[in-house]
Amino acid sequence: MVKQNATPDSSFWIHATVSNVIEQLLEDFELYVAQAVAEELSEEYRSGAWLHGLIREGRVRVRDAGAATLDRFGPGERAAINLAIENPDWVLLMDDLRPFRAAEELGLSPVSSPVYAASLYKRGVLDEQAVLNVLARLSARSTVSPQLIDLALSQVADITKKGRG
Amino acid sequence: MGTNLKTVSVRLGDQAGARVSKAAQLARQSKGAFLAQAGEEAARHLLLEWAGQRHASGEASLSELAAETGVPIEVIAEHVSAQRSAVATDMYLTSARRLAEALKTPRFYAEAKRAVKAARKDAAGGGSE
Repeated sequence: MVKQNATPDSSFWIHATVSNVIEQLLEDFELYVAQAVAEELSEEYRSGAWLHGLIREGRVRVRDAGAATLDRFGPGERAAINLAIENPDWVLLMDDLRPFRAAEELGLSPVSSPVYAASLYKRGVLDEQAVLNVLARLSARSTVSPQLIDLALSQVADITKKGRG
Repeated sequence: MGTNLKTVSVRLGDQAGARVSKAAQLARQSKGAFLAQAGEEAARHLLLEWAGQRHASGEASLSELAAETGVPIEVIAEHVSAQRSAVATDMYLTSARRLAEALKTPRFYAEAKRAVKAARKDAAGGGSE
């Protein structure tokens, strides 16, 4: 099966590392990171070391947008959004709320790490306790917006109630 | 990272100068090296506090803060987590309880409580980043 392409920003990557969903992410998507995202994530730290290791193995590719449509926000998220603008069929993986909303206003459909975790539950990749563990870990990080966590929690509760159908 | 060093001159009063001399001696450093390290640590601490507040208020993203302060994004994320983890997990539990009540699935709240307990244990062990 052909995988869909996706590009994460640094916040999503850090949270995916904390949630232990990187391998699943690689199963679900062909991952491309913008150079600025790779530069933001230092090899000195766990999430950066993991990313750079995967880049060296060729499991994650580095790609930059040809044009810079967006000039707001930090370098990593800006580069990730520009890459997604240039490749509208790609999934933009992003957690910081302001750029997340800006991406939506630009017509993109960003996916946050809590919602990705909820989708893993929906597909039966994670069971109920496992998805709640992921969301609790993300919550404990305090760098994911509580609104995004609440949204995912509601999805999980809803699926629990109605069944995965 | 480049290795260019910048020179900063400081003027100290007698007492402050004596304290710095003694402290540098205890740290087995020159006064200059001691002050450089102390300044760097103080700057990092102040920048992290400032970044944490800006992120908490939603004024700036991690990426913006890393670019503005020169502090690695993971270090800022770790600092924010250390500051606000307890409050954030309380909010998570409140949401889970409300959902469990609304959907009449008490097991959901029990599992969320277990998840938070494990997450807090992880955070206390510093094993995430």
